[in-house]
Amino acid sequence: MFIDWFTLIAQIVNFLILIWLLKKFLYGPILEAIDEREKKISGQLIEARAEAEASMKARNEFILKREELEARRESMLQKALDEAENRRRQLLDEARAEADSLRVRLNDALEKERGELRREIVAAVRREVFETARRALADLADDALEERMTQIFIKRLRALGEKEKSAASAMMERSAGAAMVRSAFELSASRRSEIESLFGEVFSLGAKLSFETSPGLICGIELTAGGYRFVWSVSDYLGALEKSVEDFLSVKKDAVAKIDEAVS
Amino acid sequence: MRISPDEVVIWHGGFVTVNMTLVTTWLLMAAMAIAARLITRGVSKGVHVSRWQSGLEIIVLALKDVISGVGLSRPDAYIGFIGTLFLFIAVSNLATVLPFYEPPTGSYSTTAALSLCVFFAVPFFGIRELGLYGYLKTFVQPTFLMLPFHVISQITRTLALATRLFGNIMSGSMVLALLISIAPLVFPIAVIALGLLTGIVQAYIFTILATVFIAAATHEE
Repeated sequence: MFIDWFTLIAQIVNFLILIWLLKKFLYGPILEAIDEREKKISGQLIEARAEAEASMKARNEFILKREELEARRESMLQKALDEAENRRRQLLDEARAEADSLRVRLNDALEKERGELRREIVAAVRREVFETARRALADLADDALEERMTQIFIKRLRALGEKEKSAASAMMERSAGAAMVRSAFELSASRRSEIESLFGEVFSLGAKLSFETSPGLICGIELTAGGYRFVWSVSDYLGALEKSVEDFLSVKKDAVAKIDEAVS
Repeated sequence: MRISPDEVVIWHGGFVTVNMTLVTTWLLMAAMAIAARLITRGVSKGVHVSRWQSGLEIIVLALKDVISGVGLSRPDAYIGFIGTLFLFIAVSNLATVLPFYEPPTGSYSTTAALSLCVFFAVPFFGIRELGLYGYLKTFVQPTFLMLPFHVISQITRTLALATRLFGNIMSGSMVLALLISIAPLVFPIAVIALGLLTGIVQAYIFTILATVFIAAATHEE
């Protein structure tokens, strides 16, 4: 055979030495490095997984918080809008109320002013009308007219009803004062005696009549005794006219107020 | 014509004979140990690894894969022996590209030494894993009648391992030597290339068979 025994033994020894050398310089360090690296990588993987979980958790928390904030913001915005709306309505109501009160005051003032003006106009017109009438009647007054007025006075005194006569008599008795006849013009003596006799006849009283001239009566004659007063004069007519004018004006005023109300 | 590098005696004194096989083996051992030392001296345990370290890691991991692929569950415990077998045979075969180089695996003394190592490693690992009784029991599996066949197979497979490797490498070297003497140009290159392939295949076969033997001895039936 080709076996050299020394070589064979030496090669066994060499091989064992080589095993030891390679274990020391090759397999040992290399396997150790690989193990270490795998350990490190798996550690890093675990760390990365933990970090990923933590970041996912943080992300979820952040999303939750953001949603909460969003909701809160929405509700605050809604509240602010509601408050603003309420405030707007309140201000509008206040403004409307103020405008209403101002309008009422304005209307009142206008009404007052209109009333004043109307009254002034009415008074002025009335004054003017009566003054004109008085002046016309005074100008017209002459003996014939005075005579005619006296006749009318006598006629009307004669035409008094029983009821009125007795009431007048009672009043005159109670006062027991003197009776007086006032006229706008000087009565003639015959007319005076005629009135005196008629007075006694009508009221069945023996009182003495006195006579007086008063231009303010305007074409009229007046009999006063105690609390009783019997008169005929143009002034009375004018007074009646004035009253009817007043009534007419008040009716008219009510109508205007109604129209205003309807319009507003 | 020389058959084995054993025949080139460099120094002789009594029983001790220092021949070309031993010298080449020492040189290979030194080269492997120094290269491993140089590369693993600045070994990186991080993610960034040098190219040389990467290469070594690939080799070591491939060896681990082979060992665990055969059925040994703890490859780290066997990589010292099995890995060194493969690396020594592979390197000594691949080095045939160097001029004037004669592979120590072309010496029957060397291949016999390696086979003997396997022969002793099998019971060593078997007893370590299963205990003496457990290991001896594998000889009578599945019946007691199998005992002589098991014993014979232990011896014959050792012889087969040694002879196969020696025959292949020695024949490669001889064919190359013959070719160089006949047609010194071009043809030897093809034979060298073929020799490289054969060398790696033989290293693989030797290693895988050793692993299978160890795996068979360490597995309880």
